[in-house]
Amino acid sequence: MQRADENSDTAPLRAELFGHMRVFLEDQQIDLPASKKTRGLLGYLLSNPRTRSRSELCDLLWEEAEDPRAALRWSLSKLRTALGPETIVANRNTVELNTAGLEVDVAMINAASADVEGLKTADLAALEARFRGEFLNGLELSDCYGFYEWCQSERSRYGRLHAELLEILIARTSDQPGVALEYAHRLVGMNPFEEPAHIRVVKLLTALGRTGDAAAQVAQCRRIFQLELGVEPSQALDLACKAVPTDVTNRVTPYNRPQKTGGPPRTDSSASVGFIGRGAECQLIRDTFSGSGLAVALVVGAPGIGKSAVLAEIGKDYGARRLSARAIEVERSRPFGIWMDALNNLGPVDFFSDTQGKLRGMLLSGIDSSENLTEQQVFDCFLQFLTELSRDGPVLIALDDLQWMEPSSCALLSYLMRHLDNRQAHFCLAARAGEIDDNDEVQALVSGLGNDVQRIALTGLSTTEASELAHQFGPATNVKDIVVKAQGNPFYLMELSRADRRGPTDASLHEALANRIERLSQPAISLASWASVFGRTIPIDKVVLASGMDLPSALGVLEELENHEIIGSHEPASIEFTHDLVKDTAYERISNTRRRLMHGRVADLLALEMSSNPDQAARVLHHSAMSDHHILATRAAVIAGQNALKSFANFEASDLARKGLFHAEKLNFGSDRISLTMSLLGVLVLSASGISSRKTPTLIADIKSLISRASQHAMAEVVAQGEYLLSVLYQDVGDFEAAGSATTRAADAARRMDAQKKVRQLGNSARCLLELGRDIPKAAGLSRDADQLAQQEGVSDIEVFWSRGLLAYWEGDLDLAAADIQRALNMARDSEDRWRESKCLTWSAMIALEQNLPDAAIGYATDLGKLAAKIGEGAMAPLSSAIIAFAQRDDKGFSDAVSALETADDKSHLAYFLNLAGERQSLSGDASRAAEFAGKAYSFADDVGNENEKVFAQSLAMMSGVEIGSSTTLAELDEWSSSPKLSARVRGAARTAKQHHQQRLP
Amino acid sequence: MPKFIVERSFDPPLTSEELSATEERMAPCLDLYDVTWLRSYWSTDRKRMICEYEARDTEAVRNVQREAGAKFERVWTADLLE
Repeated sequence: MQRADENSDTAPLRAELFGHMRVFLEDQQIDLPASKKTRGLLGYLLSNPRTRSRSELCDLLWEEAEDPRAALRWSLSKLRTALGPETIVANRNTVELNTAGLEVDVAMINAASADVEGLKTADLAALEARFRGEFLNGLELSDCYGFYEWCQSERSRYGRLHAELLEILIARTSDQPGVALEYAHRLVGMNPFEEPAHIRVVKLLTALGRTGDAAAQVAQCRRIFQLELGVEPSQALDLACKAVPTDVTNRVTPYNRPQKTGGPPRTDSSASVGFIGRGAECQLIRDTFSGSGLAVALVVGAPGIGKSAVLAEIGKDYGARRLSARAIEVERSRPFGIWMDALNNLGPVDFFSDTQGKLRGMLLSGIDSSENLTEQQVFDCFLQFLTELSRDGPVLIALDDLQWMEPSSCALLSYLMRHLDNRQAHFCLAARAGEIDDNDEVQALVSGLGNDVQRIALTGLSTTEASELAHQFGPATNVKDIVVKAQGNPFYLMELSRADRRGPTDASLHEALANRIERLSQPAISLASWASVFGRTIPIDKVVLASGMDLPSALGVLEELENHEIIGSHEPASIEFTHDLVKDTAYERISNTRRRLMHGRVADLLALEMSSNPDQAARVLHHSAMSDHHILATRAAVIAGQNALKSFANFEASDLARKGLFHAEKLNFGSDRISLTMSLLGVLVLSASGISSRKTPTLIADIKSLISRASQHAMAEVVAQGEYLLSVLYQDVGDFEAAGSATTRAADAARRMDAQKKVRQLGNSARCLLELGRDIPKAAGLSRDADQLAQQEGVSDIEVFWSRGLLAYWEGDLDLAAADIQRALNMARDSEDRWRESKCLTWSAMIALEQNLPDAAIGYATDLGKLAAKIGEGAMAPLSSAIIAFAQRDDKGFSDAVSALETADDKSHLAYFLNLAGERQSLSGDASRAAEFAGKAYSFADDVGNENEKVFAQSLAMMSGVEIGSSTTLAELDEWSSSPKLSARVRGAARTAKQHHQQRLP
Repeated sequence: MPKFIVERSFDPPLTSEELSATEERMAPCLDLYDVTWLRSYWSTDRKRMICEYEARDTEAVRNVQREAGAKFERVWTADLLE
């Protein structure tokens, strides 16, 4: 491995983004920065090398950071160090990669993707080989939602392309079943829920005479469908299965892969290995603890270098006076998570179990006998507990994987460091080098300690120590090579030693781990996959339930996983991966599609106890976010956020609220979304720490908008909650008058909601009558009552503006009608009420046509057309086409739209538009065409009893010198000219017809 | 008067309470739009329903559904075969 600046700055760079990201400089792999966000940034820049604005990159990866631009600068400096100073071209506003000599696998794949069918088979195979694994494997950064969304969408896109390549390759190699089988297996691995992919494997195996394997594939497909989709495969699988002899099919059970015997027996290699080396480092830690200053040691190093082993070795000096735990990557929103786990790991301490129980209660939910518990009390209780525990000597606080520790735990750690002296507590901490920089709070804590912390950077073991360790792992044949390859990393050494027992290996650490997992039996791989979805520590009952295995089978499989040192037992009811790298490897081999489904299942399982155990809610949020289960994620964020507030973990609370709001935005606008969003805004406001004065105006606007939506749904409690939050915010900014008004409105919410319901009922009745042209005097009265009540009560409603607009239309005031319907349209859009939006758009367009404003009509109709696809079947799409065609005077388009309206069977609108077209013909002097349109309009209007359009059609026909329906008399025309039952437009037509008739009389 | 069939599906299944609430919202709309409900069939797993109406045109039936906030997939006009 090397750094780029060791070579020329202009040397060509080659990057691979599929699988674990790798960057090469003249075929030498470069050490990339340990920070995942920095590597994510590099992946993003490499995936599409063009100019990016700094604000775009900050939003993508550091949206919630205190100083996003500083974080970006830091990451760019790390990338420059790793890749060479000329690789990144940046100015104050933009960042881009220097593409000279840059070769990226995705670019080659994208270039070839336009015509994959046109590629030669050899080129196609070479292209397929570039898909080394999932796009940016291990770098999805689920906490950075913007980046996560982008990464997932890229994975989906490339997944489809990869599948297409494999399909073509399978087809082209159909005469070589052995070759085609390789591709077919890959296709199944990518999407195990595609039944045709399984069937193809079965057929190819059968063609190769491997009937036993074909039967196993059938069984595996059936099991996956049953367990993970809850359905049976179709008959097609049974048909494919018929090619496999029945006796073979029956003999193979889902948990029995004949070709895999469960691997070599347990060697207990790591269990029997003694602690080797690290003498100087351990001595340095002990010296630090025996001094007079603050007793804090921080062990940093790469994954697998032996940090946990050092912590465990130091821990031996302290017996039971040891509080130890590790932070968990996917639980960074779980308040005080590491301290909760440390308390659980400690077990009951004879004399202090009461304090322990009290502490657990406090950390879990803030519940205690005291009603007004404060963060200070929680911290003090912890301090007291440790003080008591240290009566017989100092307590060791050993916290591992600090790079993933959440802010509340960090604050408690800082507090304890400041209040416990070295006779009471020794702090032995461990973190992955580099990755600690992704965690602002931990970074600040460590920086703040300055020289008070003893930093120990663990590097590789010496050759002698590594050789000794390799010998302890077992009878490796090639210790010297293994030691050189492992570069002193004990975990890598162990993996290579294992591999060496099966023959020579040149595998990387990831490859060695992946090979170890691949050699397990299928059920063991399946259970390890499920366990990896849970995280590092897994409750046995949950993982067995999720996997769908029956208990006896699962116990056997767990034993196999333990024998192969994939997992170890943790607490009585839990298992734990032997190392995070093992867990990561098990997880990364799962296809993206399957991951989502598995996370969804885990989320559903954990959600069952989320209400009774709010500590689970943060986990449910993680799993539901990973499975795009937005409603569950939003609910979980509310529970977890409120729980964090109770535990005084304000930073986590605001973080949880923001995550919840991200998911809430994906929900349809209904009562669920409104009430959950208000709860999340509540968490955000009350956590206070997440709100800067800069963001307060936005938050106030968001809450006001939500109150308006809740009012539309008559949700009194939500309105009251919103007004209360507004009062809190106004108080914060010192606007006490506005705070007082909001408090009054909160108290008045229930009464106002009753008024809102009444206003809506009145407005709705008026609007329906006006729309149908029935009982107009009554409709006018109802509309005015609704308007008056709304003004009295200070509420507003779509139906009020809509009915007012229709009444104005009926009375011929088109300007007023357009303005009121526009307000109703805005409210419908605001509350995402699609149907009302489409109705208001239709009316707005019709009024614009009557106002002779064709461009405005086309604008409304275009929006209507876009909306039509979202609403489902109906007349919206042909209505949109009819309006546009009429406005553009496109006769052919209009004729087609009318035909489509007939198919949609919307007779009232058909009558209206045919009358409109007839009127245009009449004005242009084509009486015959006008009469033709009028005749059709009359027929449709008559079918649905639409008197308004019937009269218009009759008046129009009269002007054209023909009669339709019953014979029209002058008296009738006279009556229609002033009838309040008819709209102003129709009255006008009747008046014109009357004048026309009178002029023709002798 | 033409007859119309409305097809609906529900996931999760529709509850009796939800059905009653929809019926309550729909009753006044039926009168206004001159639509007559004739009968409905509700699958025993409560995930599907078909409803039969009489009305003057299809759009009136759709409008009633949307006014009442009743979910549906499609509406079609039908002849009765007995």
